Amino acid sequence: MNPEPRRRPVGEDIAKLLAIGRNAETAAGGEPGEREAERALSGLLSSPPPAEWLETAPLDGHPLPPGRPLREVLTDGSLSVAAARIIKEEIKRRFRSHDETKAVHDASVAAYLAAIANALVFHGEKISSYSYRDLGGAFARMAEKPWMEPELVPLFLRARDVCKNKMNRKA
Amino acid sequence: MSHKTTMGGPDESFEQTHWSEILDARTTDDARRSAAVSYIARRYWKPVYCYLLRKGYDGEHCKDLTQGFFTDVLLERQLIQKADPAKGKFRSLLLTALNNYVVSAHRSETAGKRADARPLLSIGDTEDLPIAEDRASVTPADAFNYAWASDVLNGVLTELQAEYTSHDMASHWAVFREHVVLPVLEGSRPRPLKELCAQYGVEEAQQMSEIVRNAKRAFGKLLRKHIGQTVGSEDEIDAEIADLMAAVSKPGARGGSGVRID
Repeated sequence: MNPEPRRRPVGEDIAKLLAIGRNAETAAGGEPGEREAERALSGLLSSPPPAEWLETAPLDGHPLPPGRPLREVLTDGSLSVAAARIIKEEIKRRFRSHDETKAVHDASVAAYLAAIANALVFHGEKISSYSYRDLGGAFARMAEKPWMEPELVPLFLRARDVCKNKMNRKA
Repeated sequence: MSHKTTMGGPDESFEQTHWSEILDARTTDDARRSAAVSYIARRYWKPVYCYLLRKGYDGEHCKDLTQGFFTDVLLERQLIQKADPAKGKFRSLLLTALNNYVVSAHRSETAGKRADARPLLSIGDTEDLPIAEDRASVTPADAFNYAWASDVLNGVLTELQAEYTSHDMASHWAVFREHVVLPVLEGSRPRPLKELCAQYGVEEAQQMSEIVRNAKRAFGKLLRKHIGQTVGSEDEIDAEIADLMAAVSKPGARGGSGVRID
């Protein structure tokens, strides 16, 4: 075991641990639908973005990082807005298909919103036509899902705060 | 390696220890009141100290003000009398009182009437407290919440480790630590289950996966127990966890060793 942490914990790490604790009692022992959604999301996030997505990446020097699990890609602050947009569109295509289960649909919506949250949090860009109010509500609901991947919870909470600030500024 | 666990305590683990102590401090018996306030001071001095540091006071001044806050506000001004589990979280009440205390302390000092801080608690090592590094984006309240959440998690992880060890299941704790906790705190990749199977003599990854799941549940149960001690009712636990998650998710909050695991 390594007694020396590789880096100091940040607030988001604390939030992830809290989410693990919160979800463990509900998703792990909860409704079958929640367990399925948890598994579907974990499966989706553990795989790298499919190679065919890369083919559509614009040649502007900001391609998708190859080979990394989607979980890392979606929470990476260096992901370009263009790449976040590609992920969002590809995942949208996926959840518009009618032959998938509810769990897969829920997992896809979570990843779709995570791509939007990434662009909003790290680049201040809204890559969705939904209003800040709608997005803020969706991010808040995602962060509260007992099956939500703990890695994504801080991202959703930060995105919700960005939306709140934008709405306050408008008001 | 046994794969069943009752770690995390029984299901009915909600306790009101924390609130019991707070309510106990309302007694007219000075000794009991002082003991109860000392307990609260021990539980909360780190968040209070981090809040003051983020306010811009230097270390010695923070220590004085921390002592002064618990003595003047909790003991003498009897903030405890206002504390009511039905009226919200003690953490929020304390934070509001702290805000007001800093304003009045500043006023007293400006008028040359600095309060004499009687030591109510022993303030230990402050070198490694979870202090926000990115001061521009972290408010004193964020620093308070971050230190509080770190402290709660420290307590939970310490108790989980102790429970596993006392049940002769130290390897389960080690698996949880290496597969879940360290990757979160260090930003490293979790050790693959197959690797952990080989190290701890578990035949199938499915079994190891069950161990991880059980450890997460035990961790969740303990987390709810610890949070439950600080809120008015069991119904408020989820809201308090969500509130803490939101409070610490802001960018820039960064620890010393905010959460320690041995």
